[in-house]
Amino acid sequence: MTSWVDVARLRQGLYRFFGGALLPPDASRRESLIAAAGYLDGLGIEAFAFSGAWDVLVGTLECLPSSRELSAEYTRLFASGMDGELCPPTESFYTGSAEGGDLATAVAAVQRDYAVLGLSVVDASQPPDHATSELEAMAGLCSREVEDWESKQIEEVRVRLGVEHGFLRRHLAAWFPAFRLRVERSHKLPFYSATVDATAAFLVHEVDFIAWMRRVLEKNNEHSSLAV
Amino acid sequence: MNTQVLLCSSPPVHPIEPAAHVSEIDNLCRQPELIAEYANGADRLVLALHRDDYALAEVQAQARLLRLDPFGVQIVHVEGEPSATFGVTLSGLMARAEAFTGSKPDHAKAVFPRRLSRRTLLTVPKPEYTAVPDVDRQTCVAADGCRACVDVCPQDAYRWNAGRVVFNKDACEPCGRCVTGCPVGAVTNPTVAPAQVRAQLEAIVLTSVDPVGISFVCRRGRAELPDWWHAIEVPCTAMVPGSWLVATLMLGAAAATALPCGPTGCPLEQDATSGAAVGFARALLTKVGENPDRVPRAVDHQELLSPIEPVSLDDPFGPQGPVEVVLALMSPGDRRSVLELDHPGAPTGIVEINADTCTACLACATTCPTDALGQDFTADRLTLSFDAARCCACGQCISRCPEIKRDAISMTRRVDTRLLGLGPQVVHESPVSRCVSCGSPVASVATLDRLDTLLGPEHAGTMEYLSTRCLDCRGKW
Repeated sequence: MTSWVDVARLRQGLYRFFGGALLPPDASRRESLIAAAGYLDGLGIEAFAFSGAWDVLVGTLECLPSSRELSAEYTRLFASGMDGELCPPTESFYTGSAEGGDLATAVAAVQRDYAVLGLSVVDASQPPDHATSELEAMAGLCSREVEDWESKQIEEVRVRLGVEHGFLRRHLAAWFPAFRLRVERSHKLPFYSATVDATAAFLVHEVDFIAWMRRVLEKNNEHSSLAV
Repeated sequence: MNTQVLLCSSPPVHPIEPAAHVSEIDNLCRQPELIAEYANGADRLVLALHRDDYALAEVQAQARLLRLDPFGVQIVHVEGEPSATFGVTLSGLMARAEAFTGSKPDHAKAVFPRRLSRRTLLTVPKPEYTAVPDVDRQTCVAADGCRACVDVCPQDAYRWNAGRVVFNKDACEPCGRCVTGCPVGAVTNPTVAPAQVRAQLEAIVLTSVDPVGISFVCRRGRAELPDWWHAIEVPCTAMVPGSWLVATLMLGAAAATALPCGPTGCPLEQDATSGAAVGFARALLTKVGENPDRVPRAVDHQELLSPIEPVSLDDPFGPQGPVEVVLALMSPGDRRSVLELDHPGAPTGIVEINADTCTACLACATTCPTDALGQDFTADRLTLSFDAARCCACGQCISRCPEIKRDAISMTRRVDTRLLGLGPQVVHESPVSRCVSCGSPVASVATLDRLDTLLGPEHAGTMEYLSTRCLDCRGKW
């Protein structure tokens, strides 16, 4: 058993971790990821179904190749597509074309959602529909959820979960499976494949988990005076 | 492979033969943390626990700590003193665990309490996961129009939308109907893979000294079987086709059946489906001169007959298993060479075309997930062929036929070994209209005539246009 606020913090941490792992690698990020994985690993992830994919990712972190090799793999997979399939970690690449809309329309839809949520992309080096940006947006929403839990605002939490669920379903959950398939076909080093697998497993779980939390809070609204 | 068996021995249970690999742990049900301690280094795990005495969520979490997929962990419930053949049961479960090939994130459905008490609202209960089906998009042929999973699901968990099957995990109470109902094997449930069923069955047959009966039992039920009967758990016995029961006999069991849930019946109201499968297996055995009571409708304490001679089978529990089983059943030379059996539980079908009303629009052939219905264009004709050996009686051809109200196509659930061995046979022919621009086929003349009738003489110009140009050339005109 763990508290709701702890679960919200764990989810926030995982979103941030996965977002960071999908940024271009450098020596400091590499060390940060290893440290963060060690910390998150001790927070009870084994209770959740995605922990199998997480364990594989942690296993790859334990024997990471050099930063230079990792950079080469990052560029090959996500930027150049040389010697394999290009796997852009951006939503518009998958939803923009599949639904017949142009890429800019898909990007605009993401930006519109950020604006509605009061979020903006600070790091101009990444496109707004980059996986990291969207994962960071989810981390931001989880952070607000943590505050709501801490201030015992159960009704606020319920609304917040609805927002999280909507954003997740409209964006990450809609395109990440296709992205994962591409990476699975094209990877050469295990790290990015494991990262994308673990992220995909986590996102599948999140869709179910948030939906369940919303149901519970709706059914228990008579207990709204109770909070952690 | 390091497969370990942990047995909760509180109350103590003795003796268990063969004793190898079995660790008896006092009060394991109440102390799941001992799982990680005792099974450290295991690749596969079998647990013998007391029903209602352990928390599944805790057991699953312990398995994950061991880097094991919880869906691959086999749990058998011990109630009272285990039977003398409990060792055989464990051997079967070990084989089933070893045949587990892993699950995907989409296979997991979190099952939480519907409502939390005032006390538990303060904390998050550990989620318990149940395995639900997942559709492999690479294998699925929904884009061609197949909706077999939508049709068989008793809970409306599937929806077909624009060539894609959408699965609603929340609506699914796993019954496995979609797993065995998918004609191409695109729907999987990691806890009931054909390879696991086969491995468990073969291990039970191999380790048992005496003839054994195999009963497919529902996970939701509580089957009480005599010592010489062994259970193979499935999400619901309605998923078990009659051919599985016959295959079980051919792989060495002396008897086989699929038991209904219990006196109150199947909570998913699938009793009729299970009954039809048992009925088909009995009818098939009768046809080939075997005793139908090898597939009893209920398990009693009667002594079992000697097993029939084992037959080598390739993939009897896979999508094409029914045809393989029937043909293998017929193969010994002294058995009758032609077998015809009409039965509502038959897992194979025969499609017939009504030449008077079929317009050869090819909707049936395009949709047919197993390519039992095929199409071929020659210079001036279109032929529709049917291969009985590929038909799984899914009925997709019937559902998609636009002329079904005029009985253009019909399908009978039937086993006919003469037709099974013939290969594709032409069942309908129609002259074809070709594009005046590029020469490609436009449509069958019968389809165009039917359209002409429906549109009427005021659309003669449109019909002229549609009849003489293919889809690619219409825009260029």
